[in-house]
Amino acid sequence: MNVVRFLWSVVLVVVLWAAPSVAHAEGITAVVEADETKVLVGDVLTVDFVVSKSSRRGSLPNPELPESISEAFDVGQCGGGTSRSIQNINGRTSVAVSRRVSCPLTARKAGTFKIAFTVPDGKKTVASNTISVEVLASEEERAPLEDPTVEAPTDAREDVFLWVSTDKKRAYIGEQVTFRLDVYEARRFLDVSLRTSPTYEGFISEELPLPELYATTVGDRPFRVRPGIRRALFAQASGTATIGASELLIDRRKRRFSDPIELDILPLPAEGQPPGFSANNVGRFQISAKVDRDEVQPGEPLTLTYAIAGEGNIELLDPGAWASLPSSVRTYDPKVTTERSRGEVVGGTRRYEFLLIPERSGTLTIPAHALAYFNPETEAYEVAKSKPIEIVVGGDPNAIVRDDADAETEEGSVVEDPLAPVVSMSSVPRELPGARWLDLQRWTLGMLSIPLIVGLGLGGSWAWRRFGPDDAARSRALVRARRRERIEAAQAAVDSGEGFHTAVSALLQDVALEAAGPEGTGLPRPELFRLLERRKVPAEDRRRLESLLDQCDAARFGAGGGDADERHTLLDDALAVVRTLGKGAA
Amino acid sequence: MVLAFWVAGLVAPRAQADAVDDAFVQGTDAASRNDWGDAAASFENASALLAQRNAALSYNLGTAYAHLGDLGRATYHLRRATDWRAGPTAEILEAARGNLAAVRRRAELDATTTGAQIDRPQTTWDLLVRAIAAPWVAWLSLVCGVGFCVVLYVHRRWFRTQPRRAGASRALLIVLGLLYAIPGGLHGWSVRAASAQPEAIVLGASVDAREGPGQHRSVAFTLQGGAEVRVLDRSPGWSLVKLPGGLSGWVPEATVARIDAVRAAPPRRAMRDDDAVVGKDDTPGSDGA
Repeated sequence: MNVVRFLWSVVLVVVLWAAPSVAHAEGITAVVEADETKVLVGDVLTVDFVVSKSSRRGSLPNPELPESISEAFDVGQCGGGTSRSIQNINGRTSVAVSRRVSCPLTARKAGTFKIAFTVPDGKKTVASNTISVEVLASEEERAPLEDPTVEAPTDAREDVFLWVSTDKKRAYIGEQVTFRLDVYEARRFLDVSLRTSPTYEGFISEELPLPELYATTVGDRPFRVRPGIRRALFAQASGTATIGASELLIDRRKRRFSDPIELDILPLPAEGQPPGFSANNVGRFQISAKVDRDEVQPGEPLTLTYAIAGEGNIELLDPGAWASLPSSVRTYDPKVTTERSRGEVVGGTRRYEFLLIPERSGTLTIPAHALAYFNPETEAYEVAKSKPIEIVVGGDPNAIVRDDADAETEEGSVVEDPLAPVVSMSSVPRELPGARWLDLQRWTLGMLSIPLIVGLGLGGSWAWRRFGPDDAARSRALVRARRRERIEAAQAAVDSGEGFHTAVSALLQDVALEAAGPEGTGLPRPELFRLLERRKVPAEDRRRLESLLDQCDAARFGAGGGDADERHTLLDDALAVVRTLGKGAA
Repeated sequence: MVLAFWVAGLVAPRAQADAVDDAFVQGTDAASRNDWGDAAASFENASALLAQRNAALSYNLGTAYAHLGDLGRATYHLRRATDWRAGPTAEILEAARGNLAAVRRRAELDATTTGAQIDRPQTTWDLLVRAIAAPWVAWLSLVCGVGFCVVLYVHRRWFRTQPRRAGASRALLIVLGLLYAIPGGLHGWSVRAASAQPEAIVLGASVDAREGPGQHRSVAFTLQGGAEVRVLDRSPGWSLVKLPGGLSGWVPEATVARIDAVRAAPPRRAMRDDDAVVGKDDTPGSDGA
């Protein structure tokens, strides 16, 4: 038992003794931590200095940074804070207080540096653990790539790195070399940007389209590849040409560098080189010629187009001297356009459009144009040729179109086409056509008034239907109109007596029917009067009405109608009855 | 005193008329001698005295300028000669169109060689727009509108209760309504657009169109003399013009002339200072080729 206890005690002592990274002195602990232990010169690493103690007694001292740290690092703005934690285990409460100071350190020089610090604790000094930071000299590391044609890495260097390559290590002057730069990321970084682009001294460079981002595996680790640069380079001088290194900035703190690339640039072979050959004519090209019409009249313009298509630095291509045309053909400087092809190989079509004006009839032959170029694949000079073109210039073969100067001196005209002569008259006509009646103002007024008229008409019609007279009112109006007609007929016949009593009888009959209502229609007179009685027509009025009707009947069917005075009296009585009964009926 | 004024009032127009005729005859005489410079000057003199549109005078002026190689003014006056308001006869109209075509070909050639911008040839769409702006379309839409009102009244008054006649009158109403609304709307749009953006001709041999009103503004493109443009806006001394193709830029006001103006554009001599401002060659016979 004692042996076991002894062994446990030994183990405990050894553990305590073997924990050099944590120093204890009366409860105070000092710890130093860093987020990176291997950086490049210029990189920034964050170092945390932590002081803690497990007692509330006394104040917590500030960590003292060693002066030696500033020899290798630039110390940035430090910040931090104090935290307190309370634990209760089995009824025993313990309190821990810690203070953390974080400092950004920028590596200034290469080497391996140890970082530690001390804190005062009463009369003693507590030392922290020690960490080693290895700073690499980035510039010295970047030797040129041995084989730049390797497109993808086989082993992963770090979580993020640059990979550069070219499609060839050896090229002729003017031959395209495709340069690629990719960013490999094993995990996502917040901010990755290319801080310094590679340099292309001795090259003419053309930007190429970038492929899409893709995923790959490098040494069993998955990586996301972000294509950064694709460039076509055309060397301008022979010898060793260098594509400089580029710098990647990660999360605004860390940097990664690519390797430079050295290329062997060969001069164009002297053997077989055409005289006056341009070093930009390297690649593979074809040439064609065409005209927009092959039959013209003298003085008519036509367009001759040479199209050079192929792969190579088409923008800088030298087409060579153009074939001279006869002096009878007026030639203008060409309009040059370039249509670039999109892809990893630079090329496209370059067009030279000449405006030609043949001034003499006959057959005009445009000779073939030869374009010499160096083909890097066959490593030989080749010649592309267009086909000759024949143009028929119509009209009289002996006729010559005058040039401007001739025309001016002979006729003073500079427009080649025949112009109609001026009109001659002794007096200038003064009469002008009158202004059009339908001017803009009238037309606008008329056009706007049409929907207005239609709207007013339809609106009025609707309003009449909605707010106009109803059936009863229309019926009353009809009755009034008929009564008026009867009275007018009676008045018209009162002197002559012709039809007078018929009109008065009809008038009185209508008034009786109006007073009786719709039930009175078709009733014989005695029944009608009984109905009037039921309708509470005064007896006096009934009696007067009946008397007048009887007088009319007597006059119509009896001995006679009496004289005019009697008819006037009858009419007045009838009108009095009409006024009395008609008012009640209305 | 009153009598003297009355006599003077009678005599002055007569004297002016004689001066116009004299200048016109001088111009035709100079033209018969192929002295196109004198001919143009005499016709300009007659035009200034007449102060109204005249097809014969515009035609002769345009032809004289065409012979001088002043394609801008030639196009301008020949276009005015074909305007109905100038009262062209059938012969003048035909001759003016022929000369206009010749001048146009030359201007296109110059534009091709100098790289200046010129309006594209008229397309079917342009002709359609021009036809829509014609007076007969205005009459058609107006008559159809009035007819619509009449037929609508008849329909509602008499035919509504008669199925056969009601169907026919309804169909007629639809036709008249469409003929009123569609051609009328298009005509109105076309006429308003033409009055808001009047047609003009570039007078100089070639005129720099700038990105803003002012000589200090950079040159956007160069306009060929004789190009037909539309005036979109004005700033003191400058006009914003637009080619039918869509290019627009500011040019000195004196280098373009509206076709619909009653008085013709000032003659070349009077414009010499302006041309100097434009900085382009505008001497007789210079064609830029």
